Amino acid sequence: MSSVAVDRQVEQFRDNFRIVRDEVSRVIVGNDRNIVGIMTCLLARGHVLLEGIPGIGKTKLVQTLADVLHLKFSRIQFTPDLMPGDIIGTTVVREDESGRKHMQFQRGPIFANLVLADEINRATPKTQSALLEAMQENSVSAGGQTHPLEQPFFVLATMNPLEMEGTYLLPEAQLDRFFFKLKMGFPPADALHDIIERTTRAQDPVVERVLGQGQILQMRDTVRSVPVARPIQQYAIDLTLATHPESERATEMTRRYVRFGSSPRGTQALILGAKVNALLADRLHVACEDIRAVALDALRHRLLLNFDAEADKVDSDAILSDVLHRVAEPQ
Amino acid sequence: MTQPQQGATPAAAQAVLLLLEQVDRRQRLNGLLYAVTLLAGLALVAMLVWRLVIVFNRAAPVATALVVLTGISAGIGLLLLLGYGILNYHGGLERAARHADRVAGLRDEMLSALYFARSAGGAWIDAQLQRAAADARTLNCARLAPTRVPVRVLAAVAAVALLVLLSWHLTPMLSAVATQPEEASTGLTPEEQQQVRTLQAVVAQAPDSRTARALGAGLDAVTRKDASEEDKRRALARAQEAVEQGKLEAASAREGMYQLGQRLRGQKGMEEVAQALAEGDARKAAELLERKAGTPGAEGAGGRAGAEAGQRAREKDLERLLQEAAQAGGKSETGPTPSSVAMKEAVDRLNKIASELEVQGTMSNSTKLLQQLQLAVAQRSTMSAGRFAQQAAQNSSPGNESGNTVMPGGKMFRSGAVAQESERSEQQEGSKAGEAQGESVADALLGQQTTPLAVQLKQEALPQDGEPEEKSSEAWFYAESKEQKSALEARAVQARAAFAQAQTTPPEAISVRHRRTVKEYFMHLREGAQ
Repeated sequence: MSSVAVDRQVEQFRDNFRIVRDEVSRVIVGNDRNIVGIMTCLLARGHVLLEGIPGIGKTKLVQTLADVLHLKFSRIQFTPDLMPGDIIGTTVVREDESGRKHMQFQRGPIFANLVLADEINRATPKTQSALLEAMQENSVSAGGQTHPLEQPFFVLATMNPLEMEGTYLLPEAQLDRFFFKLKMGFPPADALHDIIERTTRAQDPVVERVLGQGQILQMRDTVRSVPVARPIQQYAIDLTLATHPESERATEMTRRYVRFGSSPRGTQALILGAKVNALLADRLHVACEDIRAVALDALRHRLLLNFDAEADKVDSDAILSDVLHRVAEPQ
Repeated sequence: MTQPQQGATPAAAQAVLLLLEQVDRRQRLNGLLYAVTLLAGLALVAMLVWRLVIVFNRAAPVATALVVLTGISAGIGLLLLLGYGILNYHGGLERAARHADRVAGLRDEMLSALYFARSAGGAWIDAQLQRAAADARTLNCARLAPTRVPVRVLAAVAAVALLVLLSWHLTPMLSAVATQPEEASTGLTPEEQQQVRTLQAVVAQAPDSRTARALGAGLDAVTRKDASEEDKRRALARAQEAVEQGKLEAASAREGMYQLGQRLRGQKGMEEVAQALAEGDARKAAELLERKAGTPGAEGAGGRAGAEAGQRAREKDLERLLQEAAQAGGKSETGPTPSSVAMKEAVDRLNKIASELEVQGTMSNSTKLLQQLQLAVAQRSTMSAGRFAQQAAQNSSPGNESGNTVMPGGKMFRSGAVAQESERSEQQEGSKAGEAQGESVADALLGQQTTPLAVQLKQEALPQDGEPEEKSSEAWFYAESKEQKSALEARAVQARAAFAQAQTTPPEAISVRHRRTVKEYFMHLREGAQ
């Protein structure tokens, strides 16, 4: 592949990305950053956890994205009585025309390209764990058989940070499998005007399917092709190590408030997210600023804080901001 | 030049590496300039310290110490700065790449390109290198890394250089400024300096005299700039004491000569000598005695006579020498006899006494000057003032004549409230009562608690029969009130208790009763030693 082809590929990537973003923005207002974050996760072969108060458009965002992308979409409403089989499917006894009975695997809603796990923290940890294999291995094991999931496979989970009644905290292993954890804040006043105008008319805005499965897979390959220089990679590692309280690179705040730091998946998320960021900036290399741009989304759910942090009302974002401030770029 | 690995686009990699090497060279040059500038600054600081030490050295020790301290601190700071720069200097293409990225806003493009140029290639890496090479070709190396020293360092060195130049050219002025405090540091006014010079001239007239030596030591202390006011005051007090002692000794010598003259008056041939001695003129007595002996002086005697006279001088007093001289009755034909030797020795002793009296007379003339100088120094001495205040606080016994109150009907003498004493006690010595140093306000009549006079006193009328009514106003007097009488009686009881306490546990372990005895004992001991 020549340099010209690379440039064209990058250009194509940026165009596709822009088209999707513009199309989603027709429905979703004031959430460009989250739209980019979700797209980044999709293109980096990750999954995203959306956290926000009720009514700010989490589910709407995911539904709109599913409408824009020409992908198979399924929605799972997580409830306390939801069972793992309700997600991955179950083996049922079938009788054919000749009257012979045989076992057949009935695929669950997880067999889709775009899975919306709505209010994921309302299901029990047992049910939440049903997603573990699917999210990491892109396959489902049931009835002694492993069923691969069709690519792209993308899980978008939403959760409400306010309600504690009838909810279950996500296990650390489950959290670690999410590429990004995005926080959806309350939209600003001017964005609220747009939201009201768009959602209170006779007809809701309609979006078109602008990106197909093949294009998305191609964009995923493009992301993986972006080279990363060793010093930049070292910076991502330094950031990750700085979140470990026992590490030499740990900051004062980390030592005080963090119980466990980020896993290597966090570093992977940093690099892959930075690659998407670099492509969007029309660069063929990853810069330190790309890593800093995705650091909060990629690491905030991977830090396990201790009691002191809760007592002092220190959250992961504050610790990561301190880490970003103190960890120097490699010289 | 660093060679790119195989796979990387050679031309693109070469362009990137060329730029980075140029930047690296310039950065090394800048580092060298930085170090040279710091060393130059160090040399300038040393030069400045040297000049200032020369200027301030003798005149202002404190300023000299400050200059040296500041210079050493600045030198250490510069060396630390230099060491920090050397230790933290990471030369190389990586640093150059990061510098280029930062200055040109390339967002790690050159750093990545440098890494990619050294690693295995690929389509994406080649593309990145070509982009980086294109950017590298547009960059101006001189703008990326201009050859210059940090402005702050340059400004600091320039400031030090300016100070060095100023110190070089303004040395006479600085010296004048520095020596000004030297003259002022003695703390003497021109008038006092004149007094000191006069006294020094007096000392120079008789440098071997004990009094002159004491006075000279006091004057040295006064003119010494590192002596405190208290030291000066003490030295002058010692000088004053020596002068007073000399005056006493002179008076004693005159008295001795007078009595000697009286005793010699009846002896034959010694009438004129006796008259001169009675008049206190030792020089004239020596001349008369010398004329009587017919010898030119003590120095004219032989070596043997001189040695013998030295021996006898320690054994006999002047009276015996004169009596022996009188018995000799004039010249000796056969050379020096014991009588003639005694006469010569008497002449020597009289001459010596005359010299001492003359010296003492000169010293006595300086007493007034010395007292003036002593008073001026004492007034400046904060310690003496503080001690004076302490003494005043400790000894609240006021003088007999202070605190009298003029009131209707006459003058109220405070003796009723103050214990009368025939002579001043030692505790009152050196207190504010009538002393030269003290011009203090008298204490209240009864100490800290002042009772109104109307309470202390009562008017009593004198019964005068036959006097008209209008004149009776003059026939009254102040008498002690009952309250005052009670208070004085109570104070007397307290005083007796305090006296008993002082008798038993005096601070000097010498009871008040025996202090005078002890003092007299030591004074007599001293006179006996002399």
